[in-house]
Amino acid sequence: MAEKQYSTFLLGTDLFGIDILLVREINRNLTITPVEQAPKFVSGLLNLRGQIVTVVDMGVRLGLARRVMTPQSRVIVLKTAQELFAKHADERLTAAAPSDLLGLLVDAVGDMVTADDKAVEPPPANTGHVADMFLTGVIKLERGLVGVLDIGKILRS
Amino acid sequence: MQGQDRELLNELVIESREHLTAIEPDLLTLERGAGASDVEILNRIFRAVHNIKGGFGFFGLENIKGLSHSMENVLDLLRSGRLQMTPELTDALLKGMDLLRLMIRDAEGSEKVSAREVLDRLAPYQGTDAPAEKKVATVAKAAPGKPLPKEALKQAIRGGQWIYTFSLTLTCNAMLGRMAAWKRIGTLIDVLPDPETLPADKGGESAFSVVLASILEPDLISVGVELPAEQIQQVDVSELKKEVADETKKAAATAEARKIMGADKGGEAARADLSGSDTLRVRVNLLNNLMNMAGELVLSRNQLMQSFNLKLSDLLDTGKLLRNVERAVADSLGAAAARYERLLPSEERRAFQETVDKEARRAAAVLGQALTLRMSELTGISAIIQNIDRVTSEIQENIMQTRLQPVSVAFNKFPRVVRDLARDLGKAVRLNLSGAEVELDKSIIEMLSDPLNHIIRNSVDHGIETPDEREELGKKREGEVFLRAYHEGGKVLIEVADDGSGLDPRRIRDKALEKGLISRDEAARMSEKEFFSLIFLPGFSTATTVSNVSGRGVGMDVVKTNIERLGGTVDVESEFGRGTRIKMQLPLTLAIIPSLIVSVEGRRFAIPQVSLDELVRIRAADVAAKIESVQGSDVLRLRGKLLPLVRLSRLLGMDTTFVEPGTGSRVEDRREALAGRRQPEPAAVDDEKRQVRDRRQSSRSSVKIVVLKVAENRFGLIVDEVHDTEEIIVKPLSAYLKKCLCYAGAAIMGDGRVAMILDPMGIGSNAGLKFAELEKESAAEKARHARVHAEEEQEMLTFRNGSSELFAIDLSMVARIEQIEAASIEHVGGKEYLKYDDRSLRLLRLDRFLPVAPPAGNAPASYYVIVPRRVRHPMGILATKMEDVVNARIVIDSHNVVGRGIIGSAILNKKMMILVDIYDLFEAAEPDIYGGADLSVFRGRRALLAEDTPFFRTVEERYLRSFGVEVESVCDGEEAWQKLMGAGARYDVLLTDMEMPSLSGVELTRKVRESARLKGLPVVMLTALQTGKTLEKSAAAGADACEAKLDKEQLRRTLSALLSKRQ
Repeated sequence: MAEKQYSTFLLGTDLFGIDILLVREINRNLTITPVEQAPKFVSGLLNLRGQIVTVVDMGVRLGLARRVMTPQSRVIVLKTAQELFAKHADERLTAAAPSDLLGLLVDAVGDMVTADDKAVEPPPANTGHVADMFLTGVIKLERGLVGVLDIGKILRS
Repeated sequence: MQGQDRELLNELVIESREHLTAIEPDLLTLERGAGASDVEILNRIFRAVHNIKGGFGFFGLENIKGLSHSMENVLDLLRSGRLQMTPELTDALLKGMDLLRLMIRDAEGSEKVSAREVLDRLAPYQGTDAPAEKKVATVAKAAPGKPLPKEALKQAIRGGQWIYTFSLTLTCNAMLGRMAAWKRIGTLIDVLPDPETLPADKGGESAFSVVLASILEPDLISVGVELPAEQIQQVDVSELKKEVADETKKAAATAEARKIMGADKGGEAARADLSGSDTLRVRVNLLNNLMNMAGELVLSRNQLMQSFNLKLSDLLDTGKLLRNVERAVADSLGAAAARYERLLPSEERRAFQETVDKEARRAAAVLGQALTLRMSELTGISAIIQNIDRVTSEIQENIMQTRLQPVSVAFNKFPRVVRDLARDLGKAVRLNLSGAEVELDKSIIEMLSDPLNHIIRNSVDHGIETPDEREELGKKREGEVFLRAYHEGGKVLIEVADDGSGLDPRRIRDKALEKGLISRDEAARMSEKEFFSLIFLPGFSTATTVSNVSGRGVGMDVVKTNIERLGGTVDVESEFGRGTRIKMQLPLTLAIIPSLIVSVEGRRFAIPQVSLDELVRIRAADVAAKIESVQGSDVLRLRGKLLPLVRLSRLLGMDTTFVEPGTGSRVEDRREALAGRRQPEPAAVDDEKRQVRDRRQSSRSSVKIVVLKVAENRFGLIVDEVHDTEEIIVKPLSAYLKKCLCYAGAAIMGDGRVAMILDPMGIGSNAGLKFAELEKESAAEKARHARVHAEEEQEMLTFRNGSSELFAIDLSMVARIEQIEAASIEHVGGKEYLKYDDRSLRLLRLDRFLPVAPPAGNAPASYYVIVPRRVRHPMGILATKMEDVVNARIVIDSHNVVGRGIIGSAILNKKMMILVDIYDLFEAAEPDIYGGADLSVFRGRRALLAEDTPFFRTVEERYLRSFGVEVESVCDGEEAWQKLMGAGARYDVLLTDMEMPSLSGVELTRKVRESARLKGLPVVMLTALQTGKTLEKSAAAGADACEAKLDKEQLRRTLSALLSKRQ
């Protein structure tokens, strides 16, 4: 029986979660330099203490609208595959991680959610949202649902 | 595979790769036959392959194990002398090594790789001596007898050997023979009885029992010792093995290990250095992080220093304020004292005044003290900050050094490359490496590999002749290629030289002509060195036969581009028949590159300085004239060449705006191209509307162009603003952004924001610049430009007259310059003279006759006298200082500085100089001699002047006008011809420069003479240098006279004579 912790965030009113072991840090610095000619879902580059983070607009990535920056907006910086490999992390986790520093631009971050593997239910039947194809499951909370995202699929497709 | 296992495997992979890298040169050395050290080298190779076999066997990777096993067998046979090294065998072993390397790179996937081909190639070599393999049985202990020497066994185990025991019955001598053979395949641990101790005369056979340690495996040992497998037994030494393993662990990385390395005498010194020195394997990742943080530290330091300096200047301001307060207090005290003087008796007044004074002074002192204290505190902090500054710089520098790697990383593969290539081509080539220890940035080394590969392949393929050819030429049969690296002036130089056939300048010329890369005219002017540099042009390859080695479409142009991308340069030297040398100059580190910061739409971009050619700013008023449209894209006419333009904002797809002059705000701009900026207005548009339409032409919308060069091509990038040059640290881009060709990376700027680094090459291709078409378009202009340019330089003598003003005279007007003592100047009747060649030379001071500044300061003790030529009565011009003789294209500005005797001004090397009209000056000084000529013949006359050089045009126009002639001037012969042929044209004389673009003066004169209408027109040819030849040419063309350009007197006489004949 394995318990997993999820870092959650808001896109509009929807709550999503990703494996917390993939999260390096959450950043509120939003001075993002846009990059012309980049794929639409790339909102730009961010300076993270001397390292360049490529910021992905999670809204665009999941087929929603481009995110509008608010004081609650955050960039969730992910761990890199190399970093996880060096720490002998789980192979599946390492495979999902990005190869270089990547940040996810989200509207706000939510609480950390702990859930048993069994509590993660299979995603609902296709509801026509782009986001559905990136879901590995949903967690039911008292307040609502958390869509668990497949980061590997999001980054690689 | 579990994490831990995988880590072990990773270690093994890294280690094995190193082994394999070491094997390659060893195999090549063996092939050359190094002699005595062969056995050492073989042992080394054997050990390496053996370790690979053992290691990967442990992980159950049978494919790698199988291949290394085969190789090991062959190597063992070589070692025992039962097989001789041949090139074919070397090939097979090298192939095996390549395959091993391939399999090891993806160890987990190695099981899928087929090793059949290589195994088949190796099979015949092992087959001769390898009968049916039979594995020997294992026994727990060697044959009974005395206990075996433990140390010898351990030593054998450490060497990865197996321990065998067997018995046989032989004569003493036969036994001794066998023992010698066994020693070649292993170590004899024990032989009982020792045949040496047995009496030799005892002819009979004895039973011997042998313990042998050998690297041969149980399935091979029977072949090795030449005994049936049943007769041999393997000794179980697992207990000892454990012991050895424990000991090894303890002794790891200690002196013991080093001693073993040292004992390996075959290893070159370098090898021992590498393994034994104080080095540590560090992940590149970690270094990159360190570098990032160092960059960040530099940033913080800059911010700290900035805010500290701000504080400091604050304090200094306070100090100034305090002094102002002091002064104000003193002033009001003074004023008060003056007032009290009238009101109070003097005694009281003085007492009161003293008290007030004292109080005020004390208050000031208290303030002053406080300030001094704060200042001294800041000075203390300043020292600390300076320390931080220094340490930060050092940290950055040191971290930068950690990225340095020896070039051997790139060099080491070349012995093999050269060998294989030479074998393919049937040539004998030796590669000499030197300077492999020179260090370069890791990223440079990585990018250096391909260009080097190309150049070296070229050397072997095209440079080195076949052995027979070489012999005929009197060279050694074996060709040599040298690959050298060394330091020079803070840069690293890498040279590839060969003693082959060298470059043939004639063949290069023919090829370039044939391919249309140069014109015949250009070819005629080019030096040998210039021909050689043609090999770097795209689309150039002289190899007459296209081999599978070269001719793959990657040419020297790519080499050049790659090296330039690294911030380096390439140069070629060659002597036909003797060899070629290609020299590459590279920066030590790539990570920091000086870049120009520009901005577009308020966003900053960095452009690497290497690709920067020049900056051009076009005033709004000139935009229409200079920027035009060719096939729908903007081009700039820059010095007679067409330069394609790219608008950065549009290229990147930004929303473009422009500054509205009225409000200063940015407004969206919908224009497609700049050339469309000023469409010819319809005639009916009223003025007000025109103003509105033309608002984009205000001075604020001048166009700033950064001219970039990519390989041989140049183009202009239009930006909004050009800022400073900064040293930036290049950061690579994420895989998501690799497709954006316009960027070379990203950089973090001083304010912590990220800016993109532009890649000129990517931009060029992204913008789809059609250089070839433009090239064609501008070819005609280019030819024209080349000729014009040579004509346009003037040689000017510049000097001073004791003031800050700089004067200039055309050098062709100067006969002599003399240095004289001030005392030798004689004064007669208010005029100054100098005794000169038994004559008196009148001296002129510029400030007396021209509207220029008088000399400042004391009169000097000595002067210079400039004596002009081409004047009737020479007079000397006094100067206090000779400045320089400059060769330049002079553009005269005849508006800013005007006055009698002054042609105008010109800017040269950022200094303004005043051009002196000597004739005017002399006329002003001696109107009796120089003035008074009869000018009536010039009245109402019209002259056409054709002159392409602006300087001469200005001066000649001036001369003609001073005669009273009406002048019309044009810039070339073609234009002059149009004017002459124009309806209603009426000219009394044509003055034409001899050398001009499009239509020369000679051709123009000929045309005039051939024309029925114009044949009677007087023509005066003008030339910068009057020689017999020019006179002859001019007369042959039919000109009436040929005069020197600046000789006003002669021109007046000639014109006067010509015009008086004409009614």
